[in-house]
Amino acid sequence: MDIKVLASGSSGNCYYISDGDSPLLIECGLPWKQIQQGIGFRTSELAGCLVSHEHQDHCKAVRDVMKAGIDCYMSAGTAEALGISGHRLHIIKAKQQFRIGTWTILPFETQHDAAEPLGFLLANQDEDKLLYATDTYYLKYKFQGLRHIMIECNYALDILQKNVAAGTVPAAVKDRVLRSHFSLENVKGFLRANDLSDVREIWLLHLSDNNSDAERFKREIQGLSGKPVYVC
Amino acid sequence: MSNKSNEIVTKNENQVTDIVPGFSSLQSFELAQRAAALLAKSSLVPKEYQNNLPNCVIALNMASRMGADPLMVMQNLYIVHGKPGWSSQFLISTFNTSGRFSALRYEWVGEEGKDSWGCRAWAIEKATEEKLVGSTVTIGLAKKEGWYQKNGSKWQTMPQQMLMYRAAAWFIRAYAPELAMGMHTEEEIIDITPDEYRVVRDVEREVQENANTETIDIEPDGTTGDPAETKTEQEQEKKDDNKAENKGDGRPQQGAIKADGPGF
Repeated sequence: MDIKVLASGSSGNCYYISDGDSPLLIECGLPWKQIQQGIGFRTSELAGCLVSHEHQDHCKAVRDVMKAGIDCYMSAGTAEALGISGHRLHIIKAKQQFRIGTWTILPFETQHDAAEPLGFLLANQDEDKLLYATDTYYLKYKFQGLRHIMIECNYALDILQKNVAAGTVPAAVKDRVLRSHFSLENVKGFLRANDLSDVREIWLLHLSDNNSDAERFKREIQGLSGKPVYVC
Repeated sequence: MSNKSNEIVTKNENQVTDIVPGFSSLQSFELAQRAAALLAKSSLVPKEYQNNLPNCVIALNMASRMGADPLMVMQNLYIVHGKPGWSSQFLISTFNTSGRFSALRYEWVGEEGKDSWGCRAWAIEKATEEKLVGSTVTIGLAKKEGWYQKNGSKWQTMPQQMLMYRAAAWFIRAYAPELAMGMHTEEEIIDITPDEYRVVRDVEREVQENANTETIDIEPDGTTGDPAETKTEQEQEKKDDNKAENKGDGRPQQGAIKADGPGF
């Protein structure tokens, strides 16, 4: 499986996933031109684009993507919040699996301050299973047989609290972050709760500019899981 | 000769029986790790201990020092703002069953509903038959300490229970501190933690209760539509340019959902 990170974080999120047959975009939170450049202008090969929720850093280019003839998949709440419609829009529901090309995809609810946010469990015909979960302060679910984990690791509580004490992060922002993004501590809890024996790689996504420490996050998650960890 | 070797065998067997999980010896530590490996795999232990050997070893060590059941310790040891704290009920029951004292009792002072209302815990020390009396906790004191006014404070919703719990915690720390092992109760940690950590506490609790509780998976043998079929339908829809909306097009199907149950 080929995973390419075009952007990750509050300034934009866009991931290219390919099993060699049906390339997908997960999120399109970048200007369309940047997405085109990022995937070498091979946009016609894309089998679809999954959008987790309506915040602009995850779907800035959604109209351009649909205009380019690429099917976009999102929840009804997300589509409504974005005010979009059209034959390129596919409404999906949590816990109802569907197919795009060689992928079978099971969406699931995430915990974020958005209308109807989703995460995605993807499996291809080689039984390569990928979990994508971002912008959620925890996951209700556990998963089996994961090989690739792409999960948000936005902040560490001690760094966030230090920044609040120093006045660099307002208390209101802290409260919002706590109830909308995955902390290092909760990511660890998630990894402990899951069987990681088949996992080949873990991608830590959507790190906060102010409240994270990429090197530390990588070290601690690698130490916990014993798996290669990539931070973006 | 044979009698002698039997004696040695018996002695060694007794030594093995005497080992308790903990950090007191290499054998004790090895036993703790083996027991922890078993408990960490159990779905009956609280989430903080599942797949977490170090937490299980710590709980086992505490259980053997307190003479308590490991599962009981795990179920009554809470992590609040990163600090471990006992549930008040557990601390009181540990005291009551310690064998050194009578069960805890309470004496009430003041008038209910007033700041003077409060209580103190007492018990009889069995060895000396002396009546031991703890410090008095009142609503006025709770207000002065700032516990009462905190957002979501249980002092406002269940004052009698909080007075008894606090009086008991103070009594036990004064007369049998070894039972609490230097730790506060969950309610005390909440009370002494500044209000700005309230959201942290609430989120921690929500995550503890709801995270990683249900297993979901993709159903392997195609309750979903055939990808080719889906594509054909999509292509047909593309022809219909006047169709403004096309909801439910990914042919979503019910995924396989498996609830986790307790067991081995």
